[in-house]
Amino acid sequence: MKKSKKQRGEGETTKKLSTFKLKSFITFLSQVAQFPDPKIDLEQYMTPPDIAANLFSILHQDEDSIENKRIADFCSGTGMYSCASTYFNPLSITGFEIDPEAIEVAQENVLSMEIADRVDFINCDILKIVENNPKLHGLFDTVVMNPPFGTKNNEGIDMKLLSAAITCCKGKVFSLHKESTSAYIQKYVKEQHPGLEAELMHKIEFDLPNTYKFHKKKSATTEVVLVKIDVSKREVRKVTEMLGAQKLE
Amino acid sequence: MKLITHNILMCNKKGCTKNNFPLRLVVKQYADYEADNAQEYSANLMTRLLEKLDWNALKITVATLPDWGIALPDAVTPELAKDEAFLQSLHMLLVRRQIIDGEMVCPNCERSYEIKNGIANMLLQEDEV
Repeated sequence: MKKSKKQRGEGETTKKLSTFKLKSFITFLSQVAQFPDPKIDLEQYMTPPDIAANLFSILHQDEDSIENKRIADFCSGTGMYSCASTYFNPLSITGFEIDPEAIEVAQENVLSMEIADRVDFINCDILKIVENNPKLHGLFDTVVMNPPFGTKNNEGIDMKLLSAAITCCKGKVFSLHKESTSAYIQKYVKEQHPGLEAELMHKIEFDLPNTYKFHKKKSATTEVVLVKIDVSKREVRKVTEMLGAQKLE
Repeated sequence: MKLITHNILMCNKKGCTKNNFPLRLVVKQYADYEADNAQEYSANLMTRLLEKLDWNALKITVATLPDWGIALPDAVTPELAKDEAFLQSLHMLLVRRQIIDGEMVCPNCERSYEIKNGIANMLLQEDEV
């Protein structure tokens, strides 16, 4: 199995945005307002603008997964990933979020950033809507997601959301997960979605400064990993199996 | 909310599985972006949008909004797909037009989903899931 695991900042093979363009991208994303009052049960925290800018530069330049693509942002929160996607001229962006208050902030964000025509937000329970709406299955070229890590009485929610993302995608899924769960994610994807594999791309350190009042330390660092699942491989696999060819490895 | 989003939504209420698409669109307020401020028109953009569109659902929906004064053809023929004027009018309808306030009503169970401040609310109550 091929694994690529890069430390942040190490990507010498990465074709990067010019420093200037990256800086303006970060400035653009600095306009995205935070959760005013993060809800503990939804594990709400926003990806910081600099991390989001780096992340989406990679998705655009190395993965060709934004421009001219139909994009879904699962657990869109206050809209950081939706806003980041608008930077590289996608076909369309749909944000899915369960929390009405977060989605209102997200809508205010895209309005004040003058990108409201690019993003549509849907207030819904993603797991329910994906289960009941076959129109969404295989609809999106790219699904980006920053799900709750499933740690606060919410166990397994991250895996369910990952499965929903895979269901709705025909290109690539990009999802952020706790580094400590990466072995489990790889096992889960292999078992639940035969033919697909979860590739661990970049390790990122998240500073979560006082997001929740119960955090004892002033700021806690969480190791997060960007997971990629190339769903288009599933289709290839199906066809090859039909033709009786050897299994792809 | 744009019509391309309405085009992918169906009723999610428990037990409502037939005749639940397209949702009947009631528009109380809409706004059209100026061409300069909206996603730029290109034939390629329109072709890509049309690829994933349920044309029949769009046609039915637009037909229920007579004050918009738009009549869509039964199908997008290869000739139409190259017709600049037709694609421009679709750009107006699918890219520039935003539904700000209204609702989407299930043709089967009559469940109404609100559109407020441009956001579609597809959340269900506990007894509906």
